[in-house]
Amino acid sequence: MAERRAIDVDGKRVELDAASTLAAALASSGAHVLRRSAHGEARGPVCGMGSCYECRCTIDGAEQERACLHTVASVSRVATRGASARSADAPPRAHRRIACDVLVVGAGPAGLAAAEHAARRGKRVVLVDENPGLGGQIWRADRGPESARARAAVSAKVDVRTETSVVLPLGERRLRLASRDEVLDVRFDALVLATGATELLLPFPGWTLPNVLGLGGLQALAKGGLELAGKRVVLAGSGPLLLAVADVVARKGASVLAVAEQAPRANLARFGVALAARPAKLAQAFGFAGALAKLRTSAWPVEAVGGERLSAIVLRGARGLETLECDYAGVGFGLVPNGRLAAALGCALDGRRVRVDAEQRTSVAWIFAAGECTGIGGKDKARLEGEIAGASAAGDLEPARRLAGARERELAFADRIERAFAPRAELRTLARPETIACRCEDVTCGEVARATELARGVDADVRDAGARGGAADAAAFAWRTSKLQTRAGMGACQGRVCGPALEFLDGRTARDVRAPLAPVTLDALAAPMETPQ
Amino acid sequence: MKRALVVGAGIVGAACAERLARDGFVVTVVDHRPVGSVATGAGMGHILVMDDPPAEFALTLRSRILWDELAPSLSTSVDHAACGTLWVAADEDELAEAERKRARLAAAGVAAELLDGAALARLEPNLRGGLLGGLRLTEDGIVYPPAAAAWFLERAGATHERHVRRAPVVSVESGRARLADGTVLEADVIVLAAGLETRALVRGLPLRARKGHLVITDRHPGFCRHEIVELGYIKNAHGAGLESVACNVLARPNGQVLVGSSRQFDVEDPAVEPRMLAKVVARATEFLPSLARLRAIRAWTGLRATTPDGLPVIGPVPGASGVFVAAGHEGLGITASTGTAELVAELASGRRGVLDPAPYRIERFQEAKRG
Repeated sequence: MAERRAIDVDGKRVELDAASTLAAALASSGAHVLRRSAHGEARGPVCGMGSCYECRCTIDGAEQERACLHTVASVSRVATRGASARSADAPPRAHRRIACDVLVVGAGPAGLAAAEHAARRGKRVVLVDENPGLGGQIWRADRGPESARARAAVSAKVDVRTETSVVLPLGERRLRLASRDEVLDVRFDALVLATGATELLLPFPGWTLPNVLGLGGLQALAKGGLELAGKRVVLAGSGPLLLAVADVVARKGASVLAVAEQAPRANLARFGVALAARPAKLAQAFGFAGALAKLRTSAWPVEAVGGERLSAIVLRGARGLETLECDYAGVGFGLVPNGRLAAALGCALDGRRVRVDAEQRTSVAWIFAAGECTGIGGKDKARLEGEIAGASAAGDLEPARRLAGARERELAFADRIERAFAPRAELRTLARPETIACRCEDVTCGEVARATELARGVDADVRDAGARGGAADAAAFAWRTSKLQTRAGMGACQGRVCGPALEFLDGRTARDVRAPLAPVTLDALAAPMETPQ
Repeated sequence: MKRALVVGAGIVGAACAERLARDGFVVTVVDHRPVGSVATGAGMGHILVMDDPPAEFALTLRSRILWDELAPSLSTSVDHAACGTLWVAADEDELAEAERKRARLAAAGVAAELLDGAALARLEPNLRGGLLGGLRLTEDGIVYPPAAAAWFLERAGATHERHVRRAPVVSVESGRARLADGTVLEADVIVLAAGLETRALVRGLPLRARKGHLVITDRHPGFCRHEIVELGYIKNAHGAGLESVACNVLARPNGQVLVGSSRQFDVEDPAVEPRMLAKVVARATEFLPSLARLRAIRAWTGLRATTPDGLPVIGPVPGASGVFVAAGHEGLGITASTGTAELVAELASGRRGVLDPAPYRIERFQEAKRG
């Protein structure tokens, strides 16, 4: 039987599963509301992996901590819903400086492969990740610190540092990292970015209700220990993740009421195998036959209903509108490459993909990138690119040549996924003017639209600039205007959620990534900057 | 119908547009960047009375009065609040300075309360122990500057005749301005309020960049109530040193805490410098130790436009009838935007007003050169 641990939640002693993530354990105990938003709305976990900042609470005296990045075993005291429980007497963090040959950021399949393949070439490798365990989202452990598979992917030679964030660029070949105990200035020769992807979460009425999560978020919580036995779950959105998550939650005993894929059946059919003719093949590919029975295509969510948390979700599909009462919903419209760190370090992006050459080298000579951040293609692409990137970063270009063909095939597969699951235009019309666009600052879609209207002369010129070919410039101008005027994108997540959403909705594009690269307590910024050694 | 053209959609330009519109001008505003996105968007948003030198005192005090008059009609997005300023004394010299400030303010009828160390600790419990005292100005305030600039523009367009053009201005002469795309805009009155970029439009305008760094935290409601400034700030802000930092911490009404400040002369690269960031945060943390536990979510920089004597340049451009400049407000552009706009409107229509325009004229620099 699982080990239980008693912790203090809002002044009450609560027994939780020690191996669960705090976000999952709190939800299992019935604490669905972890914070109050700027305007007092109830909010709970969404992404489950540290990028949406909706699960912030006060953990052991530290305010605005993300519950999804903590395991119950390492927590003693939690205060939710803005209860102030700041303690001033935290011990100061140590400030150290280290050097290595290759620094790898992100410990999913790409980062693990990169670290291992650089280490095999005799390089001193440091591997960092914000999450408590190795493996990223795809190899996330099923209740526990990390999966054996992830741990086996790197040898003991690699210096692994989990629960560690990249917080500041310190100039060429130097970064500042921060963990709970120390601030670490790292000097390196080469950097490999394996920063993965985030989910495209699109605004629709009710999408901010607690228990409406991303697909990946629901999966992360499920694997993190969320108790789902007997719970009614609706999954909606797009992409291979939809069926994979259906599989995970069904195995946990949830009753999956519907799996709504927004793409038309014909697109799925073109993707890989002929789905209509051979559904079993797809079921096998994604490991879940039962989900197919619940699968409806050309169907999408139009509203989530509830008070302090989700009570039902409304789907639109072939049968018209249908309201399904449920306990949890997982809604995600595909993955978006996470190129934030790359952009902050000056690497060129193509759209949101980090631009790399055949050696996985970015436009900055000492920076490499691998995995989902260079384009969404799944774990095979990630491992392959990780191997190439790790070897290239170690100065060995042979794998880049040897694996070039396989890499091309993976990239073609990535392009096919992107086309097959491209979000349909109707998804742009789900949000009402009063629907929240920026969850951190509670800015509505109507306010964002009005901010551009406010400077309507400017807006007209933006459209002109777009017509003249300055579309990227115009998109950035529009983003900057709405950000400054409404504060959309200025909250804790710094546009990680609303940035891709608004880009899909009306084209405005965030390109400004500001330091610190992850929210960090101010002491980590105050540490002096003297030259190492 | 009289036409006015304002170059610059920062807060000073926007305030000028609004004030000229009230005088019956049909106003066009030109900027090639988003509204309030340059120095305006980089500032803390304080409305702060500075009591020295006298011309800065007159301008900031008049401006604060004008802000208070506007306050009831400001939109909620402007987030105006009277947070007050707390000038903090760490040593006997600074305490003596606090008393001198109080006396100067009192002489002009501005209430300010001298506090001892215990009173200071009661007002702001997160200040470190051992501070000697301070001076509290309860009527100073805070706004969210980009929204304030947009609000001014909105009001200026009450006639539905407002235009905001997105284009750089390349040259200005009496009655006309030429845009980069070749367009010529004609106006009876032209106001040049483009911050540092005004340098390119007015010969001999002695503006220099003075870069500043700021950090903002996540929401930590109740951390502090006032704008907390060390009295050493005055030495730093007005000193000629190439680089300085001073504790300047201000809570936005939503609980986010702004942490500053730094000053670097002639650095025009806007990149955040980790070295300066560290100095800013370390200095602020000396005064507010538990700041170290708050979560920083964003850091940025801005370039203040400064003049050799620290006063802004407000007034007619010699040799170009109907053309006025309003720039060089350094760190007080948000505060002084209202007073500047009033003065510009008075000069444009030949009225005499509350402020004596002499100290702000551009000619003071030519005179200094000749002398």
